[in-house]
Amino acid sequence: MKREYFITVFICFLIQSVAGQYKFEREYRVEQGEVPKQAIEFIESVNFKKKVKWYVEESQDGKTIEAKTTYKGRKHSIEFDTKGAVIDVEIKINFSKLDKELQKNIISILKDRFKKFKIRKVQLQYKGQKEALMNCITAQCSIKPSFEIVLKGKKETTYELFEMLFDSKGEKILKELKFSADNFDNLQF
Amino acid sequence: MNRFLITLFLVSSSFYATAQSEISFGWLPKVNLSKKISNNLKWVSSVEVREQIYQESFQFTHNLMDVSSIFSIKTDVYESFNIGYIIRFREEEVIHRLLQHYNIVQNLDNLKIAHRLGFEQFFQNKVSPQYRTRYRATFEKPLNGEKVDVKEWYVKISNEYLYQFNEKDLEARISPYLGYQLSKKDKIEFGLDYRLGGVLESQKKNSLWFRTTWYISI
Repeated sequence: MKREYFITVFICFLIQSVAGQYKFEREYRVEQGEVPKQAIEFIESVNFKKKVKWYVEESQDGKTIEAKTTYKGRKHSIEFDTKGAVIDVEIKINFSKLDKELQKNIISILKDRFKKFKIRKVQLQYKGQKEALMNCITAQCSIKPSFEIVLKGKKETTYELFEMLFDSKGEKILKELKFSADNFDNLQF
Repeated sequence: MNRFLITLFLVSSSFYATAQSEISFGWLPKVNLSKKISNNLKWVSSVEVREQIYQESFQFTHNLMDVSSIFSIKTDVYESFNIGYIIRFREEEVIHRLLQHYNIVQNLDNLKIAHRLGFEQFFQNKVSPQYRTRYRATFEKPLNGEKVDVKEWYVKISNEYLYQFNEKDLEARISPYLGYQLSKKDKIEFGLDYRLGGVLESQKKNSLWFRTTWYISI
């Protein structure tokens, strides 16, 4: 009885932690001079042709540093910790460019979760060792990516915005964060 | 950014180049207060006054006051339909206005583009009802990062065209602003609002207003 109780509590906790989080994020631009040397070295070794913009991002996961640029026609975002160690690489992609089976899996999960939805943004998210991450940008990638999807979805009567992270097969939700649309009063009145 | 400023300068210059005669300028302070009633409904109220500083000669006169009450119905995450009422007090006159506006905001990576299409009806004692339509495009860009966070600046520029059906008059407006997000609940904007009336006529009307608007949500 006691064991069943703990299992129930544990499952409830897991569901809550996946479904109930609210996205908090603040991001601001910084100059390259304010960025840890290790992060600059990583970026310089890729030799991006276009300008790299640096940002500090504060979220529920802590403080990180991000380098953003466009490379080979796709938007890249490389995230570092505050010491300059690379955390992940995110590459923007159109949902329709994903593998058909993967698209099918993701759509099927979203259909179960929402009455209606519309995908707004998809990013491949690579996590791994520094050299492997470097290869994902410049050469052949050996890491299987997760998929970060920003969408508007209707669970009850109104649309809300969500950021969801799917595993490499698109079969499991690893993270779900709800976030509010920015106030746009100043664009209306 | 430089390209943006050059375009703004050229567009503004072209307005001035075509403009002649009547010129006035002044200050338009405005407070805009919004209160969320439910997930899809918001009540928005504002007070705006017009302080004239120049019209043919320098003069500081209180010109008019607009008080509005608007219901904003959210039809999508970044879309809304607004219906409202504005009462205008101008010297002895009282003008009643009904409005219906539809707004769509495109939220791009570091740029917001907003479209507003509206219809308005004006009612006044001893004057036949007046009808107007308007379209406005607004661009907003943060000056720091990809979105506007608290204690951050942004630029906003809007271009609007208004057509008055009764007088068949077309007016064009262009307004560059500098905005600052004071807190999660309020932001303030400073800017210029240049209006060119009688676009289709040979006799133009020019007015230039310095705007300050405080947006508060409670």
